[in-house]
Amino acid sequence: MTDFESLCLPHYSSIRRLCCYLLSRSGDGEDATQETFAKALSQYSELSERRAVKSWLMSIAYRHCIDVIRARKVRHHQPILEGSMEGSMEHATEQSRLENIHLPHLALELRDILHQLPPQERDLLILKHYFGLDYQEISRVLMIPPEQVGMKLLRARKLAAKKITDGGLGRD
Amino acid sequence: MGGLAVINPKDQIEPLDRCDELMLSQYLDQELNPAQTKRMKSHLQGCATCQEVLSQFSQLAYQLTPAPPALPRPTRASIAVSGLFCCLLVGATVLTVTLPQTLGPAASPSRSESPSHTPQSASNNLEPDNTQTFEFQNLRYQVTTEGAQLLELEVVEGPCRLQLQQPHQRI
Repeated sequence: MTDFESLCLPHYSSIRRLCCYLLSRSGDGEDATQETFAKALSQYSELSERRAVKSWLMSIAYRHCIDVIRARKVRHHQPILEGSMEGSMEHATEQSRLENIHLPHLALELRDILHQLPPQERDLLILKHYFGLDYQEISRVLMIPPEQVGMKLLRARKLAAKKITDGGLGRD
Repeated sequence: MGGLAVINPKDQIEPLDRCDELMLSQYLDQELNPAQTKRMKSHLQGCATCQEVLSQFSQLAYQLTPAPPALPRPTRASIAVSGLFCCLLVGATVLTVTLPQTLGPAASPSRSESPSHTPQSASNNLEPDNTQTFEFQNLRYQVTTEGAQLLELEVVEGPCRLQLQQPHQRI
């Protein structure tokens, strides 16, 4: 087994889940996973921190998925790079995103609330809790300054908590 | 002793003077340094508002966190194999115990006979009043017998547990 394989392949499942989550369709997710690893192999010499291989792979996957979405001309996901997140909720095309992740504790009502969150807020919550990334890793994946992750995550939480309270979910 | 206690400034916890939601969120994410964590813990003990907010955030986090990987569950095939093997073993024991009696005294070895004349069979490996364990198909079985009576047959190690008990039935 090559150095690349031993270092990167253990994260195959996480990368596949991220791609399936971002691209909604599992077939596209599979293709994106393959593309991600192909790109990672070609850029392997650029990997500076071996410890950060997971977030490095995830950032490649994330960028690739954004490119796929742009190419589709369907704005499933508002690209973070363009920085125009405000007021850009396109629920109709977001409906199936969360169907690709398995969350046994997730109440249906909360699933609906997550669908209503702006893409960046939802992605922050998913990357933090579902994928278990820390702030540094999230900043690498989403390409935002690390010091902003905490504040953005707090904003996402408050927004979700407000919707839960307004919807009566928090009163059981 | 009686001297004044020296307080190390590092050990002092300066409580938060006000609620800090950002810090609370970072506390939940374990992104605070040890000193900040102590301050937040100290603040949380006396602040019902922050406790409530933390509870909300924690509940959200819990629902978004995938369940830990489950232990491998026994497959139908493994249960079927185990059940089939148990039945075969019980059947073999029944045959070895009852067949000599059915065929008559000539075919039934008496206990007074020397061991060298005892017919070799599977059940003869099971000494009376004992418990033996053996492995089959990656499962460990334990058989308890008393005389000609099979008391218990149990899968003691494997993906599932099966237990056959016949405490009073003579086989």
